Amino acid sequence: MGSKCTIPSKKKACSKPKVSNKVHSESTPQIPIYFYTRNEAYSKTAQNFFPLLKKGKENLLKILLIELSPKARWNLWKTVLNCKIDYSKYVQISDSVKDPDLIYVIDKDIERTFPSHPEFSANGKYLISLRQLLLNFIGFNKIDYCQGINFIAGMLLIVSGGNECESYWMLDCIFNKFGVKNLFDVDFSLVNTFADRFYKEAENLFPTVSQHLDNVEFDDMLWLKKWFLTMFTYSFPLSCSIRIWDFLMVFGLGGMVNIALGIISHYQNEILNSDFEGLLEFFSNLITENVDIEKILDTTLKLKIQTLILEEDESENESLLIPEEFENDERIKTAWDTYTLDEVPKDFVKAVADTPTAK
Amino acid sequence: MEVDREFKIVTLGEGRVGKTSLAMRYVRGQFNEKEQSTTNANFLEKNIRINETSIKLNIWDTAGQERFRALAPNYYREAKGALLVYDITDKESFWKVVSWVEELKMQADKDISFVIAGNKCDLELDRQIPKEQAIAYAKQIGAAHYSTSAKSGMGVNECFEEIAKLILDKESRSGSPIRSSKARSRVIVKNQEEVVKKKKSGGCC
Repeated sequence: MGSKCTIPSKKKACSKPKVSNKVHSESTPQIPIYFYTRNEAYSKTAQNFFPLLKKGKENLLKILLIELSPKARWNLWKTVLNCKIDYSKYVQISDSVKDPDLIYVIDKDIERTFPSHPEFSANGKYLISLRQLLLNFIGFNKIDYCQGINFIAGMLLIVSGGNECESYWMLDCIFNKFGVKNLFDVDFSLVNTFADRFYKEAENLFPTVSQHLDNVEFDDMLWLKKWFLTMFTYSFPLSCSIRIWDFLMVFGLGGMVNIALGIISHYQNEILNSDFEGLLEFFSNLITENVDIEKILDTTLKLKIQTLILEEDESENESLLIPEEFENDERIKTAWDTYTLDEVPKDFVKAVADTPTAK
Repeated sequence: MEVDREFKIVTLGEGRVGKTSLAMRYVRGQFNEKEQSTTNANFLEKNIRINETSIKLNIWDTAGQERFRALAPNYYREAKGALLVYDITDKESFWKVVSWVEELKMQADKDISFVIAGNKCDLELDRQIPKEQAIAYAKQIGAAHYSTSAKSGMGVNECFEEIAKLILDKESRSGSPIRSSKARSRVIVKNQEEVVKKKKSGGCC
């Protein structure tokens, strides 16, 4: 693992790259690969849950990167983002939006969000919740609604099993604390920042692929920026985007750049052998393809993230890829900021306890 | 297949009027009742033959939502044709067409050809825009008007082919083949504020 400064999050972190060998040392064992691969025995991972949890945040990410039951996943996501559910406040917020323009805009998208998902098809159970959730969230927070938010809200409804109130507070968390708000600002500034980073890294990591994409002038609005704007939900099968979100919960929103690089790495040959038309077809078909997301996550981790964790400054461990713009903004906190290494968060214990037996 | 000409055309219009569905119906002959809303843009292409000329149409299908409007110039710039779509059951969407026409007149290539499509004609009972009014408007701005239905296929081939014909006509009148490509350089929209912030925080590595 090199000390090369890769996708650095902070100037500080990369001006004095801190290459710790902690993960490789005797005291902290190597995390076995099955903690983030799909097909390993689930019971085996469950047995190892508690000891790993006690070993601190390096292990936390491995816990999220295993194949989780839906309920455990939702609990873990909430815990990681430190999401507080306020039922009574949600009741107050509900149905307060009467702005006809907002209703007009949002109604256009309700049936066009995950249209092939059974719960979002005509008469689907989540349709009304999605509408309420969006109207409440956009209306109450006075956000300029932008397409893409509907997919993110829809994703939360899916993972929460249709829990509108909890999805609301999670949407609030990922919007305001996790950085998603800036994906949707007037200039899509964070999308552009991420794209810039992506190109910079891709040029170093995969010069041939990067050159090829450049040569065919493959418009990034057709792939990369769509991925970032919708947090991958628009262009990948649902099962894949859920796994990508697991990854993001661990590494922060900036992990999207790493995932995009992982995807490019995984599909290098396909990309190199395609012209503009081929690329277009390839990228648009991903949503119906059998994408090996576990392999992509694995590739992604090998590419970047481990290096970044090792280089990370202890005091700046909340997120790996948060751009400079955030420095004066509210700090993005993830759950492990609030816990010391020896302390096992109660919510986690609960989440783990809620984890049912293997599928 | 040898292609004599390549034309870039763009679809514009309010969200959910059926831009993607029209393009998909035209290019793939399919109609998907469950089309996702378009974020950013899509791209489709189709080879056609008009008289003796084989033409490749590069269709940039844009997102209609107001928030993506700032991206549209990236697509209509250098476009030789525009399909302006409204939904006959949505009055607002017609005014959006009017505003697009104004914008294109000011910002787009001066030779750009327009065609207006009143889509969702299969929902005639819910019509909110009188056909005569739409046709009168089209006439006034010198554009052709088509009643279309991506669902039934009505008027779809006709409206896209009309654009191709208009472009060809203009080309033969001006005497020089119009060059157009699908290529669009990456354009990154940045506001002043962000640039300032960048400067302040400085580069990394």
